[in-house]
Amino acid sequence: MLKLYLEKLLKNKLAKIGILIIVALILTAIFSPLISTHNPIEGNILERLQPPSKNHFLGTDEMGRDVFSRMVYGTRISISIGIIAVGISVIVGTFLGLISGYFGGKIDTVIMRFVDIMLCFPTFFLILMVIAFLEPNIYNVMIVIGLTSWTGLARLVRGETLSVKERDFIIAAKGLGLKKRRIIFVHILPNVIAPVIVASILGVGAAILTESGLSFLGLGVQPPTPSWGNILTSGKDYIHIAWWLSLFPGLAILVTVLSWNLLGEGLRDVFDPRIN
Amino acid sequence: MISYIFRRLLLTIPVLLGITVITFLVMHLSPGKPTDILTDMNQKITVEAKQRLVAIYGLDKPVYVQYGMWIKRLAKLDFGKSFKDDRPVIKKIAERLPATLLLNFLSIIFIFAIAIPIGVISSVKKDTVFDKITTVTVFLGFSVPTFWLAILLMIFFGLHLGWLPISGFRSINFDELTFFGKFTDITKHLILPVFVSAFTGLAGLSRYTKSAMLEVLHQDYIRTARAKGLTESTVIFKHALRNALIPVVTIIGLTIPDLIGGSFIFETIFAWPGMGRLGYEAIMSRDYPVIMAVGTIVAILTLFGNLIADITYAYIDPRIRYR
Repeated sequence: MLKLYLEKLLKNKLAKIGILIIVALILTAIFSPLISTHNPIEGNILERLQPPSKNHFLGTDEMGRDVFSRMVYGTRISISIGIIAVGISVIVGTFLGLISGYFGGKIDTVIMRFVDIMLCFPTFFLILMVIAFLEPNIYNVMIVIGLTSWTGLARLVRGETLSVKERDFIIAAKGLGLKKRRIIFVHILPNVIAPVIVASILGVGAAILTESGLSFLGLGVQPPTPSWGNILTSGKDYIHIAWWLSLFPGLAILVTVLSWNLLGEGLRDVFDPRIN
Repeated sequence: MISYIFRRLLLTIPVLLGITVITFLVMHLSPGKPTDILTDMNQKITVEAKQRLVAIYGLDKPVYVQYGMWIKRLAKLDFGKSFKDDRPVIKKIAERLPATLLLNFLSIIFIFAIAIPIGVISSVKKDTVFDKITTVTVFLGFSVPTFWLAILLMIFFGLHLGWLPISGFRSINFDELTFFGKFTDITKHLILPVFVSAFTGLAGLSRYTKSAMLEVLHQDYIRTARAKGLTESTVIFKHALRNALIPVVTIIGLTIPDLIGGSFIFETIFAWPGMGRLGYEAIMSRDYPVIMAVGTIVAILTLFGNLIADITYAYIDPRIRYR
């Protein structure tokens, strides 16, 4: 079954491109010290705002730091925030969705009303509000993005659980006297996992985008730690004289988010029998 | 239908209350007192004066009492006064709301006018060049950082070509312009923000329309319609699209928080005098009354957007009403 899915996925050219780029980015994040050509934190002030050259592939910033090396290290921030934030939201969303769908009744009402309330707030406003009052650092950003983006997933999992729990094998499992915990996590969870995978892959792209927006507004990862978003912030200030400071990090964000979205959409097509 | 509307209205009451609780709690769990901003700047302030200020805002009372006080004032649409300029918050919001509504309303219209045709053609002509090109374009819009796209467009059309104004809502000489001049002036200022907002919001609706169409096209009644010998365009537009569009109505409700959430970033970039920028500025300067008001109003707008979407849905699809 897994092999069949993988074959189908690899037939999708766009998804294949997405996978290749994601693998390249993860490798870049792991081997940042080997790939970068200069120190990402300390620059040579005499070499400030230089255009791309042989020595500095993507030019230098206002402190004379090498943009290429800063972007290579910035990969670590983007990828880890994307994956960890989504990890948090997947755990919370899937758990609450399963419980809500399986038990129904009051538990369901309470959880779903809470989801309704949360969905009325624009996620970005909530994040902005919380981050502004906490210390803006990479951990807070991860946690806040994770804790504000699980609601859609909880709804999705609840819906799937509602239909799975009426199927014969679940009724049989109940008849055999299995524990609720076992029924939920061993028998229902694997049957609702496909849409969760799709949503979480798409979620990584969204989280990376949110982080870059926060860093751009000065509320995300703080300088001198390099992140694509905060390189862009300084890019904005020097846009008339240093186009490379704005162009490259923006492209990096675009390509990264696009890859996760293409992979997510490819997976959706693979899992969705309607479209095939 | 009336009983459905009534039931649906009842459902909004707990959500409405929940919205106020969340806004209130987020503000109160945050470290520091709202009055700090008023007192920190003044080094000569005495402890007594500080306490007096705390008492004026009721901050010495238990949280639930404070919440009750806030709700009472809220019911009278009294959001208090801004810490920044001491003006009533409701006035500040009333000034900003039209600009945000105009921008988001236009964006929604463009998103619907472009995304639905894209979705329909991509489903009918699945895997053709058109499908592939639009898929990639829509995904580019979905993946591009809004603020980056906005800056690039401002540089290119605003500074490089000089065709469009790069920020704000109207020009400095706006009051001297004729009616037609005023209209073109505002239109010119709208082009870039609406484009950015619509382009980045296309993906959801077009993908949704495409998959809804693909599902409908496999239904028996479509086969029947074809077997009757109806033309392909009648089958697509009259039989398939009408049915596929029913659930799309609910998407309007879901689009609103996304659009407004986006407003916080690009209203700031385009210096657009809307609620998003007001909210962002309030957050940055810890202007508590304004933050709470923006949060509550935005959430209530979304709630009513959803309400209208649900009622429309029940109106065009009678099956919903009897669930």
